[in-house]
Amino acid sequence: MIRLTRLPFLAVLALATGLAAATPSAAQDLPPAQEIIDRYVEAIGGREAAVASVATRSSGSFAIPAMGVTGDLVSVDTPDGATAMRVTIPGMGDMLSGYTGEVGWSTDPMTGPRLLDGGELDAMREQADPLYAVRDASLFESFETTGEDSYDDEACWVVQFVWSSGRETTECFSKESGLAIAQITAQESPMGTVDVTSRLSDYQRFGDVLVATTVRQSMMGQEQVLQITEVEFGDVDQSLLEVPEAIKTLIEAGN
Amino acid sequence: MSADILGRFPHPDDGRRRVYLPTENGIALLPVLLELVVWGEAHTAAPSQAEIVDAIRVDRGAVIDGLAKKARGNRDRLTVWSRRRRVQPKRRGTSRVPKVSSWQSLLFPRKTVRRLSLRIRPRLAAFGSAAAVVFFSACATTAPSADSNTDAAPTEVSRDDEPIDTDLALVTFDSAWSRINASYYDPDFRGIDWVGVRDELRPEAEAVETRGDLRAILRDMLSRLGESHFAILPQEGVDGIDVGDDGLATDTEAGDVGLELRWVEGDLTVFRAEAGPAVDAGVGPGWVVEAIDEVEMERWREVMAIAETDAARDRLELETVSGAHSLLQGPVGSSLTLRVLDGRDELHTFTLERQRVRGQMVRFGQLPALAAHLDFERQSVGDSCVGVIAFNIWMVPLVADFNRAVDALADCRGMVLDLRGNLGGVGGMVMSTAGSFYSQRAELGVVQSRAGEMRFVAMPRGVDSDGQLREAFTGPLAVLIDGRSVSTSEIFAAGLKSTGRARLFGTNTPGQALPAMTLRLPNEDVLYHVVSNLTDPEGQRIEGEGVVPDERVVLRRAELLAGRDAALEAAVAWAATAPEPAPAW
Repeated sequence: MIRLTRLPFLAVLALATGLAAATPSAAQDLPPAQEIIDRYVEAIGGREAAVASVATRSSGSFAIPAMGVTGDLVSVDTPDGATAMRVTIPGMGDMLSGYTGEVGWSTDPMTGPRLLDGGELDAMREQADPLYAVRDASLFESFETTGEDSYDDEACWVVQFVWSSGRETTECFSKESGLAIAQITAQESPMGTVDVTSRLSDYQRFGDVLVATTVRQSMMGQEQVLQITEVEFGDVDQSLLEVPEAIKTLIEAGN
Repeated sequence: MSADILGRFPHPDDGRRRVYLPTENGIALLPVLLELVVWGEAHTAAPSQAEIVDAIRVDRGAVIDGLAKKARGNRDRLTVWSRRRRVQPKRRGTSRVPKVSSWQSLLFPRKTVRRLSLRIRPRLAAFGSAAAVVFFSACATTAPSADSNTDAAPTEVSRDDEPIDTDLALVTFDSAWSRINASYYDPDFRGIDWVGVRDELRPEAEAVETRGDLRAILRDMLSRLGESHFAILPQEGVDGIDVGDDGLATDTEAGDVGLELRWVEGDLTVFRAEAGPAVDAGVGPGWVVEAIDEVEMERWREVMAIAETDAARDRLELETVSGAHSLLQGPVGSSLTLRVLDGRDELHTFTLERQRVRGQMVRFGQLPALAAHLDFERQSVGDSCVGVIAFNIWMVPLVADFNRAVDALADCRGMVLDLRGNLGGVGGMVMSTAGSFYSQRAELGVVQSRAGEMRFVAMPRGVDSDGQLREAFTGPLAVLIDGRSVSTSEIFAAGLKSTGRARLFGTNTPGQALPAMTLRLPNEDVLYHVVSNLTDPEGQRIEGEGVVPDERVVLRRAELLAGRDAALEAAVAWAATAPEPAPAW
């Protein structure tokens, strides 16, 4: 499935009001985070369906509506935690990123081929883990329910995650459906750290699992939208996982 | 004002200010005013105006005539200026715009210049994006446009004369105003009363009858912010070119005659000439353009006279040269009449048939397709060489070309990047481009919006075009700039200068560098608007200031006629002999 931290920042900033504005509630009013997560896992189809035991290939579109920019998006994930994504924009070309299970990498016309490190690598590695799909407790130092909020008039519980790497993310789970409807991250990049608010909607069933087919990301006041139109399982085309030659060179050189 | 004594005009340099000049009623009051001056000199302690009083006493009529002439002259110039900004002359019937892939011509209907002689209209030359961030750091200059292609084959129809209903006009106006209100980097609008601008202009938008009228109102609104990278792009221009899925259009009708012009010693002069119809006719660098079709350059010199400051002159030079280039462009196969002075000041008149523009037409998002090309050469200097790379615009498909050029020239002692005439483009491209010359990351500029800030960073390029490890090029690096090095070119030059990585040669850049985005408006036009402020690594704003070269080298006609490019020569000589910079980067 699409891992949001792997999406390029093709539009920028406008730190949506997000969870910083969440309404704090008295501790006794808040459901335990694990309960919210369990309900989420059940809502998307259960742990067995969500933790893929086979390779997955997702495809769809990528757009920055305000700029009239549209392109194609493909993502491949494997059960052993390898992942890769390609976004193709007319007039710009391919933007590729991936995680081999050991190395995170990225290549695009703006920053060139490079190996990820620091917070960028942490985010890539942690979200590539198949257990991320069910927010497995083993991935986190801690998580707790911190309040409630609403997105697009849908009320949700706010859960703060502290990952094993120490980085923090926040998600909002619908009170009604249990599904994740928003995610807030401080996403690292060579240009600095950018606060990104992702709103998830239009859940559809692919196989046995529900997938948010529309993700609207706000950053630096701009919005980019990705839409998933197809998800394949099992014997899928995994050529996207092939690491580009330039990245291989950097890996061999230990850069 | 109420007695119709003074007329109010937009200030040519600052959209927030107004200029007041006497009307004919006001000029009729000059005799009275002069008498008051004479009386004041004799009977009050006001600062002395003895010089003018003496002149009045010597020849009162001559003083009045002189003042009246000056007032009328200034008024006429500002009227032309004002019309360039606002007036959309009403035309009967269908006006047609030549179909050219050149963004200038696409954006600017060419029908009105006969009447106005020169009209400045917003234009833009690029936009930006990055893998980690996309910002359009395009060139949003204003450019004159002219109707010169009398035998062109017009295929695109201007919608300026189409009627527009009030509801659509208002919702379009509101959409544009609101977008800027919500996204402009300074919520205080740099002291400009943005709500007041809406209140003043919205009633005018409500009264428009045509699309052209509305566009004029919107452009007036944008001009109040007094910054580059604001424009209204007509729908027919934006959508006028078909491109493939890859964003490239190779089958284009965009044509020109292969000339690049500059103002040199007061004349619009051929700066560079590439193989094509003009060169075939014998035209070369140093020749002076007297007229393009029926547009006389003498009128343009008059417009240049408006400028009272260096900044205003720089901006006018940029605009007028863009306008002249627009006149030279048109559909492939169409022709123009060029009247030029050769090196002996003998007048020649040529009819030239336009050929296909050089380069690849690239389109990104809602912006018009732009021609992109890159050249490089190796200049031998003693036992070594200096590599020279020139490219006309910051478009992503040129990244691979640029990298290959750097790799091919990597054995040279020094390198020169020629950004003269490069009007900007994808802001994020500065990161990978600069990366060829840095072994570690270095900050090139800071982008600030309401929600935070990000940085343009030189990203060291660790792999060459063949996928092999490479070291950063550490030899002397020179960058050539001039008054047509705009936007992303300015960001790049300022960043490399600020970090000490490059020495800049040439003349000042115009100072038009702000990250911008687009919005498709309800009337289908595109609003191009600033979303962020931008400074160099030292916190200096480039917008309105420009980039100053380390070594100023101005164009001389005699040198151009002799086939010399003095700025390039100076840069190459320096790159061939300068000590290798300390590897601080």
